[in-house]
Amino acid sequence: MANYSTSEFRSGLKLMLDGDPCAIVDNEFVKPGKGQAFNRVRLRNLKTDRIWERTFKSGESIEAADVLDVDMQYLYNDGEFWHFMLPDTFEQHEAGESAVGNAKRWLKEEDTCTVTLWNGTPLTVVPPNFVELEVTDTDPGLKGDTASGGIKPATLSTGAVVKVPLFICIGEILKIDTRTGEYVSRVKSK
Amino acid sequence: MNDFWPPSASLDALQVRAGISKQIREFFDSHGVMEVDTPLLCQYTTLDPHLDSIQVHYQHPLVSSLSTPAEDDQGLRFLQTSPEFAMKRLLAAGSGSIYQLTKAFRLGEVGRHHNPEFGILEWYQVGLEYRQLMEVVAALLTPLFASQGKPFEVKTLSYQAVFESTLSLNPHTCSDDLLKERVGSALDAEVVKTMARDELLDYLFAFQLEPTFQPDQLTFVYDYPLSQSPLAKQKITAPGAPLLAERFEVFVAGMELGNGYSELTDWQVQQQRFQALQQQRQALGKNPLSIDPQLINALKHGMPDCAGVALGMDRLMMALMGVAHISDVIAFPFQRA
Repeated sequence: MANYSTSEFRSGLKLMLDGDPCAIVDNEFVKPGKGQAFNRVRLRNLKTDRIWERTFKSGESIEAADVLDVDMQYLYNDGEFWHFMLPDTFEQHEAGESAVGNAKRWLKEEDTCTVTLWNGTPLTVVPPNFVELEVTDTDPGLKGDTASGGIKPATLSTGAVVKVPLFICIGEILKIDTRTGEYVSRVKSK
Repeated sequence: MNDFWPPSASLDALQVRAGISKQIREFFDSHGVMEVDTPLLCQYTTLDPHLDSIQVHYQHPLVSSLSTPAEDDQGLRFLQTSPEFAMKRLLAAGSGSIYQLTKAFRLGEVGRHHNPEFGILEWYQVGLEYRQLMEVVAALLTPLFASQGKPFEVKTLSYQAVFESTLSLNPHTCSDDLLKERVGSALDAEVVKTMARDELLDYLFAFQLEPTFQPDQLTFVYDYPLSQSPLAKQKITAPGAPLLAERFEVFVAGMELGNGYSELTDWQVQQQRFQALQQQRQALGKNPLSIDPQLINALKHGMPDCAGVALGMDRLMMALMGVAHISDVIAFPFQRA
């Protein structure tokens, strides 16, 4: 496996630390006078999402993490695993609950997600920024009320609950921003 | 898409910079210190194992026709890491007290407080020793900070006192094991095992002591270990006492601002210290470098007793303007140059 020297450190670089893959969040060069230089680095542990702070002696060399971001199509959930496919090779990968995390609220079959593979196994799943999902349950809509600005909860086909305007009805397709979990707009019915 | 053409510093910042440079020149003018100008492109460079010089290859046939101190001049030059060697040659030539506002260069130093090409104010005052020069530094800086509405207090303490007050250890006499213990787990344990004493002290100073200095206070730290001060005069101490250098550093706004000392004038001691640095470079696998014969010859000729200091001009501007990044005070930092 390749190594990175501290002089190659930059945000986003993936390293192995204490056996876990990490990504550099930021890297500060610290040099006391004419003495030994150090790099103070904040890293995100890609398994736990925790932020670690570490200091390296400049010139130290750290093992690279075999971490790769790939676009994959979401296929289905078998109750335990979420299955994804590489669209060009049809190669399939299964991701467990810890890898899918909060993304599961937004996973719709055939949508393309960014899957981070570590040593070939899904580590994290990031859904598309925008997904289109059907409303399966909400209070009866106040048809035509597009002006009052009131909101109500609506349950979507994936089980996610989002706040929507009062005029939304069951069966409508909504566009949701997965980064904020917020309603964006109605999508023209099929 | 980043737009790289405009300056990264505001025009207001550049105006403050111009005003400060003017005040600095007036200060030295009124103190009878002469402004000088020495080369950026030099045949010899620092031997300090922790400073890397930028190399320049002056590839032109005329190089071989020139008479230079090097036996076989291939046109290799270094961008100066400080104007120290050249200014000492001027002092030996009888210049009297001198100062210079110039640029210095260091390879691989980029960050919030570092630009590979940086402004430096370096000066030497004949007949002064380091403690007196600390007072001159405070006298120069006090009105500059006052002019920006940032009055400060001056605090002066020894290197030993800094370690004792915060870490309860004597940096000159405690064991390496105690230093390693204090470094703790922020660094990889295997790396800590291999660190030399001065590296451990550097780490503790930068990460555990410097952050305790008041940002709005000018903090002078003096009497550094001799091993960290290869061009400074040795402080006279009792036999058997730790070896100290007549050296100080000055800190403000969470940054190291400057480094000064009583200058070593003995050419033989200087030559021995340079040879020791060459050995350290070799042990660390650094590129071999020659000792500057021009500096040694100048010291042989005789350099007057003096004290000298270098201040980082960009960091001074950062402290004066209260900004966090060096690119806020430089028109075109490395990435835009």
